Amino acid sequence: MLDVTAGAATRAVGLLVIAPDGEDFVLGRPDLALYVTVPAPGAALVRALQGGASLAEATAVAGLSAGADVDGADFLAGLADFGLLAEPGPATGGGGLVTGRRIRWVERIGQRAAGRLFGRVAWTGYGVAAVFVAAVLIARPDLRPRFEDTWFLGDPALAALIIAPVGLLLAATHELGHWLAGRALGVPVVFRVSRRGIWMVFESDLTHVVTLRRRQRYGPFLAGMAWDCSVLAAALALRLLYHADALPLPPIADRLLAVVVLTQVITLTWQVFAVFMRSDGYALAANALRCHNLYRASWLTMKDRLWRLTATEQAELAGVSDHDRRVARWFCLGHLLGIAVNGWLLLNFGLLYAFSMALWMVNNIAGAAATSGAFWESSALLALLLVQVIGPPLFALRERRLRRAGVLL
Amino acid sequence: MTAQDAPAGTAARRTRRWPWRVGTLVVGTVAIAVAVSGQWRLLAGSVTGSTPTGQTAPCLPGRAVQVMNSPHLSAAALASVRYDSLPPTSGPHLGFTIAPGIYTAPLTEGLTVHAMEHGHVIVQYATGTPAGTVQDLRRLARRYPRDVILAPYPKLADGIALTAWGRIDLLDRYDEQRAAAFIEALRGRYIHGWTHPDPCPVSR
Repeated sequence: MLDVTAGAATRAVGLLVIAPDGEDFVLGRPDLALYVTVPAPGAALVRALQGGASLAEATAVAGLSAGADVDGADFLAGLADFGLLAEPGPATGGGGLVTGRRIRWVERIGQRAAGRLFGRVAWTGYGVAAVFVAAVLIARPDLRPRFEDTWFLGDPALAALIIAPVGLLLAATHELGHWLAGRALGVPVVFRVSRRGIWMVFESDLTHVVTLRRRQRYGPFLAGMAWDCSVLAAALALRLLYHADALPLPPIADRLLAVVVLTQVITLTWQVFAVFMRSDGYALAANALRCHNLYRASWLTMKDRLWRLTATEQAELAGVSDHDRRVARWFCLGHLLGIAVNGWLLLNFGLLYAFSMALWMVNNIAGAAATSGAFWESSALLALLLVQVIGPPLFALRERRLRRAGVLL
Repeated sequence: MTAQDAPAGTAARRTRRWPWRVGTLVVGTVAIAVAVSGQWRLLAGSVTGSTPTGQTAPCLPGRAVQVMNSPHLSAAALASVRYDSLPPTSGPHLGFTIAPGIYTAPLTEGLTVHAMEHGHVIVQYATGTPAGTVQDLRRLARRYPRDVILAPYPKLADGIALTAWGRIDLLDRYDEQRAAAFIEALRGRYIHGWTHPDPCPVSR
């Protein structure tokens, strides 16, 4: 049996954070990025222990909350099994595939400074930006993005070289939005640059947001898209002014702004609809629907309907809460919708670009001398394109294998 | 649950799966068909290029130019291609195209031909064109952000060339009305295939 009076266990109980979540409570260890939902008596027991009560006294408090006798020691043993009473350790942030470096200078931004970016006025501004974007894209079809916008220079290799850092900067802006919104609410969010497979990514770890009340979580979840929308609104506004002869810009700046519009429209569409890949849209939906594991519940429900579940998967689905399983029955259709919308994105932007580039490169490799610049430029670009096309499915398969092996959560 | 319930439950689940499977297949097939049919011309055309099918349409601005066979070639292979107009209005071209907009340096013919194959109108001017005229042309191009590509064209001795797929109009000097009429009538007329019948009366 766990000895809660032992020094380590007492210290660990003291490190637990407690946050209400509807009728339940979230118990968590921010230093370990571990969280679990417990009923109110469990939270009452931990609060009592943190207040200095003995296990017997805390169990009595929990019993009063439950209106029946409870087993406090058994509850703590359960927390210990989940790892919540482990010795204090550094934040991990989850999956074993991610290696990263925290960007400390960004993390020095104070809560108050961050708060100014997510006050009422700021959110009104983000709302206005979203309405402006929708209005422009509806009223001005000539400013809507097209896959051709990626060829904003006569040299496609140079264009791709410029677009890559622009895309990275826009991705960093999105994650910074999440991070600052978390900081504004006092949540210890980590902002880091890391890699997934061979791709460099920026990440803001929002795990600790579960310690907030659900209505407070919308800000950090929405912030990335709010900033994307603001960048998109600014790019569209500049293009509008330029094409109305109201703003003198170098012509190349206008074409680069078209690339920004294209990137942000793709990003926002992906974030809203890629619920099947835990996008921001998924986080918002799961929060609004008061679910804890809607992602797995939806996948397993869909798989059960269309194919069949293994014994392990059946046990996993049975372990999901009744509420999540009820929601998953219809939310899994959202997964299908998301897959359809992202297929449309791929068809309209990705495939047309990839086909054209691949054909041009193959023509150059087949038709140009091996000593020519065109041959080597096309060879390098073809290798890059193949990595971009083949890499994500390979990486997804690796994640799946590691998840099955229990290496990745 | 008893041991006898399990097979019955499994069979019931199996029966329940069929409506979902059929429904997903039908909806998925329709969605893919709709999405692909909308982009089929561009998808297929990005591999094959265009084959010569002319549409003379005497009522449209400019004059018709015989449409050439228009495959995708490498930059090296394009060096020996002879087009049937100056600037070209169809013919072999590069596998990628160029975004609409204003360019201050000349564009290769392999790029401008591909842009016309995607429905864009190319406005090109002689390198000695007065700065004021270039400003007028830029103002015109800014009115059509999705349709027009503006660039200098060193092979043009003087004046302005307006080209669309299989169509050309050469201007001695800037004529805004004529240029705008050309752009509005011919933008999007051909996108890896004629997009709509021309509004010309049939001559008997």
